[in-house]
Amino acid sequence: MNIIIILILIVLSVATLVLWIILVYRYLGEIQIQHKTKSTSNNSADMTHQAKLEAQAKMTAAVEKQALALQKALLTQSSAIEADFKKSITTVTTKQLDEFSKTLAMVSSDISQQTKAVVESSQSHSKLVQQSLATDTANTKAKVLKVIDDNIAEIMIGYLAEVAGDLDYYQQKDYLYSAIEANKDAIKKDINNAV
Amino acid sequence: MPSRLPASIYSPSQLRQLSAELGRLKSLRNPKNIVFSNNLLELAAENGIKKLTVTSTLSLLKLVTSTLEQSATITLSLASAPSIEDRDELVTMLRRKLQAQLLIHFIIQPELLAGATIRTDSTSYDLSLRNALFGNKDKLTMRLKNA
Repeated sequence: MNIIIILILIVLSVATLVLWIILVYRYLGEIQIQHKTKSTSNNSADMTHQAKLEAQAKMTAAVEKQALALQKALLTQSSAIEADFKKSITTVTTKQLDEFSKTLAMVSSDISQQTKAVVESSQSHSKLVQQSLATDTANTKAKVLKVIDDNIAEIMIGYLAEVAGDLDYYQQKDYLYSAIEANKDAIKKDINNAV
Repeated sequence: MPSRLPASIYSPSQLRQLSAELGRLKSLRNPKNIVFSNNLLELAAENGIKKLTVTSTLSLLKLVTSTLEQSATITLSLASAPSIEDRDELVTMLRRKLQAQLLIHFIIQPELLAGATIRTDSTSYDLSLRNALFGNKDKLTMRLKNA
């Protein structure tokens, strides 16, 4: 933006210089016309030459003066523009940096709060999961124990039958006879009562 | 004549078959060229009868009928099937210790693991290894819980 302003000022300065040059040339043209008029009106050659020299000198002095003024003005304006530009850039940059810093601080604060919330939520959820897991584990253990309690005999019998294989009658004969012998009185009494 | 049952004849169903067979024989006036069952021959031999006559047939029928009516029957469940010899020995032992004309209904139950269960008309005696192991399963469950 500032660069565009500088360019516009430079263009205006050049235009002013061109305008001055045009005015000088017009002025010189009028002088020449006056000189021609005077010549045709019987002016002498010396006067013509003298007037020409004077006009040229005036013109040169005026142009130099205007050129110096223009150069000075241009330098002054350029320095001011540069200073303004620096000031503007500094102001803008500082302002933007401040805004950026503020925004960054806000974003950082938001992120920090969100992170804290996430951590707290995670911790809370973790506690719930741990409690749920402990409950589930206890329930599962209770269920397993109940299954074992209800089916222990069948489970163990199946296991023993699988591990030990079939016990043939001969292998258990002594056990059977001992068991019958141990209970014979009760069985006998029971049979006699029935008969 | 003492009435005795051979060890090979032990179940009520066998006696009912014998009763039916003897009943058929009784109706025959001249029982010749008849094939007798092994159980009948063994029953006759056990009671000292060498030849089946009308008289001996009636005597055996009376024995069978009275045994069916008067003898006790138990249901004996075993974990595995005994051989014929072991079964006869078991029947003999039971009749010697419990009742001379005892009838036995055999059942095979492998889940008993070993031993037997004896069921009379009114009582069941669990003499199995299964009962010995798990008769008090609360103690076993408690051990599992403690473990």
